[in-house]
Amino acid sequence: MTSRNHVDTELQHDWQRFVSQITAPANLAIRITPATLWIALEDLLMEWRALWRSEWFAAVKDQLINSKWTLKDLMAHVASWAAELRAQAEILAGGTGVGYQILFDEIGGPRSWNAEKVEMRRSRLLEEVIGEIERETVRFQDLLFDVDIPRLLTEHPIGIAPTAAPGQPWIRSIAGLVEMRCIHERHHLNRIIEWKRAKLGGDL
Amino acid sequence: MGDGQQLPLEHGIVSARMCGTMSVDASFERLYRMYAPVVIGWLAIRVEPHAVDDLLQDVWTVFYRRWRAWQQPAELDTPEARPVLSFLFRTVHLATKAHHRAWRVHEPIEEHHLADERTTPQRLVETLALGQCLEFAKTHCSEVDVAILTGKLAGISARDIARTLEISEGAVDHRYRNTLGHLRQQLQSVKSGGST
Repeated sequence: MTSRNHVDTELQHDWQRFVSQITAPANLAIRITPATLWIALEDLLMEWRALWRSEWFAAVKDQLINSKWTLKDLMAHVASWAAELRAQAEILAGGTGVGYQILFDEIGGPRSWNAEKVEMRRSRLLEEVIGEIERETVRFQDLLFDVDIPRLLTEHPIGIAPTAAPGQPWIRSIAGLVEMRCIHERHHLNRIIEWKRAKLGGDL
Repeated sequence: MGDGQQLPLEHGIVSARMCGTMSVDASFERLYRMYAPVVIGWLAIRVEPHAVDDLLQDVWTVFYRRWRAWQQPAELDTPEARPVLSFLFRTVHLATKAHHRAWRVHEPIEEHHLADERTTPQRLVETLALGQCLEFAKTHCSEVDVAILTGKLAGISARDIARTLEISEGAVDHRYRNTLGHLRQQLQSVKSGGST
């Protein structure tokens, strides 16, 4: 009689033998494709979902996470940039640059824009704000498969410029907007995790 | 591979990268050499043979971009932890999802040769008892069960598998035991049928 443990051990042995016989290609091409960008956004969404599912998350949604925003406000901030970057990516997908600008102060970034967008979402429930992040991620992901690779990589002026030099907008591609979104949201994810550890202790 | 050929531990490479004694590119290359065969193994079981090469590049591109800004929580800074392998497992899972999505959108207009030369892992699988089990699992188990099986075989923790598949750790263990049960029956029927 073959036990499950025996099957387990036997398969693990076979698996190791199988893997040891595989030779990986010597040359690896690091290249951006719709799939790699889709994965980056999906991975980000999975990390958010793990956080949102945590028992503590909804319970502390109204606590201040920095000097001016609650945890829910911060989610509203993330949602507003998720929507904005998706909208700008759609414009880039049309083959043109973005015709408006959000102005970034050297210190503090787009303070007035951020405050306005968070305020717009203040009356919404946390679930609605989270739903917006989910929907915007899916819309951005859909866009990635709707355009060809050259268009994903073509750089244009985007709708962000330094307050001190409004005539010099940032130059990015759709792929660059995905990267901006990932960096921005990971920054906030990590800050939330650090905040939670300092305040409540323990694991996620 | 001989017994004396001990692969470097992931921990050593990550530590060297984090403290700056190894560059991003050199450490990436070491991790690629160490884990690319595992990634190919996972992909060979989960996608069509012709897609393995492409998805391999996708997985390592995604990892490279993360590796440049890799941050490791202090609790994972132990010799036993393998966060890179877990990240690769999750990325393979997502690459498979992206592949199936792209297939639905674009693939019907393209043709692939079934006798593609890049089917080495597939041929290897067929030479092992594992191949029979995996073939059985592919046709009789869900995609999630196959992911759990291949993750477990490669030593990914139930916790990391659960996070990747967005199910509970209990469900991972339960489904793994069930799959092993199915495979045990399959192995017994193969043996009683006289197959090798």
